[in-house]
Amino acid sequence: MRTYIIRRLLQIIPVFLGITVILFLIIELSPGDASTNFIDPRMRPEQRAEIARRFGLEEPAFNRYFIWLGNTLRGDLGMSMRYQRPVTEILAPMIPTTLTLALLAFLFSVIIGIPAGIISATRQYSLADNSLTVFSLIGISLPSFFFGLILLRIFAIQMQWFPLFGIRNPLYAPPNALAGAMHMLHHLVLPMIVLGMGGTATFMRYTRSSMLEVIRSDYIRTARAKGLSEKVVIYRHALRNGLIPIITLFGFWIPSLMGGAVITESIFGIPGLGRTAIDAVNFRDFPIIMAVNSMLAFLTLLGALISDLLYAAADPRIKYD
Amino acid sequence: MTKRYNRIIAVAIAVIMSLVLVAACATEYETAAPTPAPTPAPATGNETQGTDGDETVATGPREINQNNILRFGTTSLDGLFNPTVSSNVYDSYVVSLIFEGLVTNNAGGEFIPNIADWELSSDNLTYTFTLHEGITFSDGTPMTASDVAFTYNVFAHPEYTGVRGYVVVDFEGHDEFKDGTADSISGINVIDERTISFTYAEGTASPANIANFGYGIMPEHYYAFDAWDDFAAKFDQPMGSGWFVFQEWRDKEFLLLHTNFDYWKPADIPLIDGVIFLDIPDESLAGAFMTDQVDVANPGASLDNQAAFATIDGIDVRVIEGNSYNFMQFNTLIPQLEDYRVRQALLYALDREAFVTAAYGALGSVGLSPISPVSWAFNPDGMNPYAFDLDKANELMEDAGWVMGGDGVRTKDGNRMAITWLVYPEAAWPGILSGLAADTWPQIGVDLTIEIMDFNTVGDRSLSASSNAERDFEMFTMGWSMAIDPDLTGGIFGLDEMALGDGGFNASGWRNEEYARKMEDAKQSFDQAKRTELYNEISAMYNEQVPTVVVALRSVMWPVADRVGNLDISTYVDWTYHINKVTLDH
Repeated sequence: MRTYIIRRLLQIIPVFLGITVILFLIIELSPGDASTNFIDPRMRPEQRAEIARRFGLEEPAFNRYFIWLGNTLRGDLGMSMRYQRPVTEILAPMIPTTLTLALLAFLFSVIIGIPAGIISATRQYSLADNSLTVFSLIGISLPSFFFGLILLRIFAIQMQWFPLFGIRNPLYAPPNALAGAMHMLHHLVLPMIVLGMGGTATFMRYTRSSMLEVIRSDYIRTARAKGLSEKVVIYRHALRNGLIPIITLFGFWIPSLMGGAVITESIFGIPGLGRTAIDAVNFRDFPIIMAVNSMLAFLTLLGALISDLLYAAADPRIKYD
Repeated sequence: MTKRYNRIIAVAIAVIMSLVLVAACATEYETAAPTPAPTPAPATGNETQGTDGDETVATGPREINQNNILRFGTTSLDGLFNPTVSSNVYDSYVVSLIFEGLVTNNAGGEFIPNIADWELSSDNLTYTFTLHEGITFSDGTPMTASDVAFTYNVFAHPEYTGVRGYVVVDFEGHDEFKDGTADSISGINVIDERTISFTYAEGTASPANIANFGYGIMPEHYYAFDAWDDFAAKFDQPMGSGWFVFQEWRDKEFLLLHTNFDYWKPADIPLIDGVIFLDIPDESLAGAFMTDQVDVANPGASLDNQAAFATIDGIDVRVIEGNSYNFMQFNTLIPQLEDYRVRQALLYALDREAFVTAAYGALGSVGLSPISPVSWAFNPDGMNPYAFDLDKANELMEDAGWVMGGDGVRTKDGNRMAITWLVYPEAAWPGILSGLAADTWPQIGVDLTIEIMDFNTVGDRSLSASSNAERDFEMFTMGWSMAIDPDLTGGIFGLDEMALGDGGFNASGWRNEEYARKMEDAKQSFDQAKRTELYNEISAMYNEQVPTVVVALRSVMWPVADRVGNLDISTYVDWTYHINKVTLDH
């Protein structure tokens, strides 16, 4: 098992490098650069050329990639063109916010999605199953920006149950840390629902189909024949096996949470990585785009590894050596 | 087995929960709690004489009332809160609240003393400024002429990264300093503690030069640096002499300023306790006004926004005639567009009235001239508005020798009248305008292709291409803004080498020696009547030749909550100028 993990970790290195090369090429081939943002009607041509030079945009792309790679390996992600400060300094405060939101959304998806899937499966074609199926189809197909705006309209503007934007009211000083955390969680409820919506529906569909398959298998019939109660049959015998495919989904869900954060954070005005990434793309702030996308690529690779390991942990029949 | 499994799940849940808590705490309040007002520096004391002499005002710390802080809705701050490098407009507002420039301007666009009086030498080249008495930075240090010299030297620093190199580029000795042959700019001379002079190089005198002295003065003792990066590290920790003191900035969240209760002119200390910039997504701005979470903002004046804000109770939507416009530029070096009659025909065949109504409703108007209608140099007499007229357009095409072909497209000397228009989707108006042309231009025998690409690409192929060889367009449209002075050199209407050469902003390729000279004369003359006359001639010429056209002028809208009193905004005066008079119901 250990050799397997080490081998997989080593495999990540060339794949990751390959991804960064492709990322760099895509950014390189995309038209425009950050210097377009630094235009003033009264600027002189030579001043504009100077700005491009300051950003290192005049080096050939080949050289710039290796400069970037060398610096990144030393932990220096470069200077943001927009903020004119180190990228690490800009991204560091964004990471905990995005992570918090992603974890909340993930928990929301699991806590709602899996039980709903079980209910659907055990009462196949009942009213509950049908309505949950309709709900999950809506959840999968409803664009999150639209869903987000509807929630804001109803719960933040009309009812005013939840805040409209941000992760806190900066003019409110919480009396203690717990009140501060609750204040922030209150701000994150709607974003959590929007970001977790797709996951909830997906987990529900997978749980349902997987459970249906397990329920029809021979050992469940045997368990029933032994005279076990339906509860024991479903929750002790069927669920364990039914969840195996779901567990593998967890790892793969990490990158899509990060991707979803781009839209969710933009709608709810949340200071996170997703919004920083989309702003950086619009600004052509290459160092930030590279940093965020590399992080995302790394998380995806890690997610795949975690999925495989969870698979082995949950299913004793699977062995890696 | 079951137990082991349960334990794994329990551990996993515990880990996830603790991560949530850790993450929640990490982004938690560190400094957002109310900060007591800064204690006054010993030098200023609690009772200070106003500079006008007879007025004595009690000052001293005042408890910050969170409800007495003006809430400004913004979309993004870049953290370049420095008068030499700020480039986005919201950063500039922050700078304007913290720093003070030597001069400012009034509602009529005239420059007036702010913290210094000035004299201009008889050759119009040397400006001598005398700082007002008693100016101190917010840490209590007095401002001297060397702080002013320090600030202006930053604009010429070899590693300067900002967009305002033009501020000092015409100073005597600028080039020598820039290329390292001189240790300082010879045109900047500190005369005494409170007096400093700036000398322009021979041949660069212009009434527009005074605008270069509006940038905020930085305290040298705080900003002095050896390496540029050390200076850059203070961009997000600004300190100046103005009405407000920087407290905290959280990227994509908020920026908090508290009132400078030790402001050097006590009579002018703001009545509000601070300003907070809140980062509110565009989609939620109207909602934020409805739910009383913001006091002032500047949303785009689109039809949707006009409708949305018109229905909100408890706010007043101010409409200010803007200084920004949309322009259209033709590549006059290609055979299809070299004849001015063709360009006129294209304008006659474009219903700009309909465009303004569709894109801006009441908040826009058809452009006539490169001079802003708000300017003293503007004169609409004799300007052709090119009112929509397809017959006239066809006639002009015929006059220019373009004959209708069998396929409905005109030709001349083997060239087809085929034009490609570069359109970007980031704003709605280029699509609306080119959409109108797509209906009407084929009726005058033009084969129009609309090519959609992102804003940066349109710029790279036209306006912001680094050389003329890299320009690759037939026509494009973009937005632009006008400065207070009507000077046109160097910009999209400039006919000088700086505008038309490599890296210049005028991509049209249209040249005219005579008018280039007139433009230069108009820039350099200190006689306003003569300038007005010259700008009238230049406008009339542009109105006829139309290589570059102001398509429409846009107004801007400023929703202001009813609890805000005395907020002064006009075309040349932004909301920060007189904010010390603003009151808030709380």
